[in-house]
Amino acid sequence: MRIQQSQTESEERETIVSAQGGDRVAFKALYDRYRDRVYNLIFYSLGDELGAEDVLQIVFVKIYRGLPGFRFEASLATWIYRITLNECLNQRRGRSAHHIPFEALLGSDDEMDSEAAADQQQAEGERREIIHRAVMELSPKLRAVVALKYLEELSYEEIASVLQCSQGTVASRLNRALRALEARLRPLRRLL
Amino acid sequence: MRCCRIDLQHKFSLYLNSELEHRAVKRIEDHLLDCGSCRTRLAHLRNGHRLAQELPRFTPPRDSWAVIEAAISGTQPVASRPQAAVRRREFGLKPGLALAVIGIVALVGALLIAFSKARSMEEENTGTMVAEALDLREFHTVNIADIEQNQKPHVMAEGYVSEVSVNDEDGDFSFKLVDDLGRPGPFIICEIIDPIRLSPPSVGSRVRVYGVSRYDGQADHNWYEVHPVLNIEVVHR
Repeated sequence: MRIQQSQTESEERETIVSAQGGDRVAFKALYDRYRDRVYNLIFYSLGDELGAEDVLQIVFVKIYRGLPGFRFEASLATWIYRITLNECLNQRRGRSAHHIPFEALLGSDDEMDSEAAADQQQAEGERREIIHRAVMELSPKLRAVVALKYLEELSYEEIASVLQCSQGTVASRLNRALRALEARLRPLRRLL
Repeated sequence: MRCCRIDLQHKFSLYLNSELEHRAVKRIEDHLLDCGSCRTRLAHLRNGHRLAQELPRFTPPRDSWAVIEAAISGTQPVASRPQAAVRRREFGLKPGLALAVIGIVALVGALLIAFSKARSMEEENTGTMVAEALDLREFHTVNIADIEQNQKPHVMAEGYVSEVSVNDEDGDFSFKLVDDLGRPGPFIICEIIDPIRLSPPSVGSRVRVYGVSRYDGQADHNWYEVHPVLNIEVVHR
């Protein structure tokens, strides 16, 4: 397992070095590897699916331009996530968030479809959508920590490196996020 | 009764994510045996933790590589530092060749001018490639006067260019789109930024502008923008 991981790291290093030299195929390989991860981080940070696609493009152009300056002092993933969150911060400064209120998503009792609820797959989709919406109600800072922890599965140390803060701050934000998430979804515990 | 062991409570999320060393885990578990308040607190966090583990992952609706490739086509990676250092050292080894140096400087100057012209043509090409990669039918048409009501992120607005300006800090172009050149009225500020370096339209021309709609609410200006501009179609000059 360890040897496999080290091989992957060494392959990634070779790809990075090639991309730093302007090899477009190598950069495309990095894009393919990180595209979905970066997209999710943008999506959860901004809360806007269509905007996330635009920001994804800007982020990868910035990665391409900044890559020659990448010195392997942190992992590539950490460096990419840092660029991504900085860009999300830039984007948030200039835009007002449009999102559907959590209450609107739940709908009224009259709108609930008992037949649809019986459908296991649809129910699962709805459950995830409710959780997703509850996360989107958190502040951008808390959402970023939740996405890095639960989607990217980074350690506290890695999250602290991406956010350039202490591990204590990461722990504190995650505590607040989980408490808020639980409080938000408590009335729906029976459904979830 | 509320518990005051903030030092332990602070580590509950680390505990749930199994990121604590054995001694710290034991300290927390020993405390939990005696403290109902912390047990409740941890139970709530565990519920939040369980829900967060089910957070859905998404994939981009389209592959953006074509747009990214078009944008970086006009961008060359910066030469790495070690190479630059080698060049400087080589230069230092031949200090006596003053005439040759002057010749080289003149040649480099000429090349820079030629490169700058080629670069601006390349940037125009980049804009065209980006436009080709976009599906312009997906952009929501908005009237300049109605931009305030718009909720769609991708918009197309048509109007006259009343002024074009350059940002002193970053060299980005922006222009003002209006319905009527002769009278003051509603407007949209359109910003051309990296990575899509389009040529700004000329003042007085009528254009269709495609891009991302946003409201810029900074202290010195409050207005609606198309930012970044993704494509410009000239209706008439």
